Amino acid sequence: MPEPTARISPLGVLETGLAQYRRTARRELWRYYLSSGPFVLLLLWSWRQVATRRTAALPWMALGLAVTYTARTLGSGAYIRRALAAYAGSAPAGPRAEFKRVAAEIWRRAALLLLWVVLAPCVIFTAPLYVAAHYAPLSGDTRRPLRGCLRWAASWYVQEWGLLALLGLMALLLLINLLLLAFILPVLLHFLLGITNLLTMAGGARDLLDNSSFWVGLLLATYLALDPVTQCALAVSFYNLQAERDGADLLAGLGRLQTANPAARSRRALGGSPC
Amino acid sequence: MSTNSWLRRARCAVHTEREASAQCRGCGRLFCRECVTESEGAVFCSPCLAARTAPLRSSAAPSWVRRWGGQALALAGLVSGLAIFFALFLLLLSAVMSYPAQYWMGGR
Repeated sequence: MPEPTARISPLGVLETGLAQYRRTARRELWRYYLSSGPFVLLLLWSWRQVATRRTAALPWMALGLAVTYTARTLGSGAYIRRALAAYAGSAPAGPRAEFKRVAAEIWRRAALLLLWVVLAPCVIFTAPLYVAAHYAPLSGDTRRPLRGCLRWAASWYVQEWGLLALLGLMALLLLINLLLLAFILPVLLHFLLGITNLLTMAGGARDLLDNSSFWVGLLLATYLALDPVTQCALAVSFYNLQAERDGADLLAGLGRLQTANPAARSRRALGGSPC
Repeated sequence: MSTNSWLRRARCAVHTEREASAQCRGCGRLFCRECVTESEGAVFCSPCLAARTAPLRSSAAPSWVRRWGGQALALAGLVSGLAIFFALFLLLLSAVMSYPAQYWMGGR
């Protein structure tokens, strides 16, 4: 059987992913932010502690980050699974929280993260490992999930670099927007409500730009805003890769055609021409 | 003998009167189309497919191993996953710490 190649272009994946994100945002986003919020806040706090050389609690900080990242792994896994189910038009899986499944999901994510860190100097593995980490919760039902998600990710190598480049461009634009917002909002608050803040004081803007925690917070905010879109886009790509093997998209299209045109169906049943 | 003529002469291991049309990925024997099933991109004969898809409970392991073996494996996976996360975050924080404070814009 030939290896699957993506039928859908990176731009198509991103476009469909964005549409999927907008369609499911109201119902599903709370799940993502509820799990990712604590990790991001703790990471920001830890950064501040480390930057100001408060190092006594370094192992405790790492432990807290590990625990909150585990929660994030599970929450974002549930989010991408639901995004895939919504895109495929199937019913989302119920709240299956068996110990074995949860443990396997965490192990897969940790193994992929470790692999990514080890292979970080070889830039060529960055994109497939990043994509495989997102596919890990989706390939849980297959026989060899870890190998499966790596194989799915490797099967559209060139296109995923294109997708990552587009996402990088989006992240840059979002970062610039957030930066402008961070500078404009305090000044507006000062003019409208008279609230004094760092930016309205002399040298305040310079102080803010010199603050590493501000930049880390900005990067994390960009990541939090864009990651759900990335998850939806990768759910779309996963569906398309699978559909090339099992023809699920063609079957769904056929089903839609049949429900959309009952008159043609009845004509076919009577033996007449469908046209 | 050329490969083509060998293939034409090959017979199904079950239905010897039929020409073979597939080779089992598991045992390597030749079968007709009816005797094989496609699974995960390869074809398998019935015994090989049954062996591949057999659940853990059909193994010869004692019942307590079957019951707790999977749980223990899952627990080991969970603990090792958490340990990897912990080690990576500790490494990250230590790496940030190892840089002089002025790299972090005056340590603010």
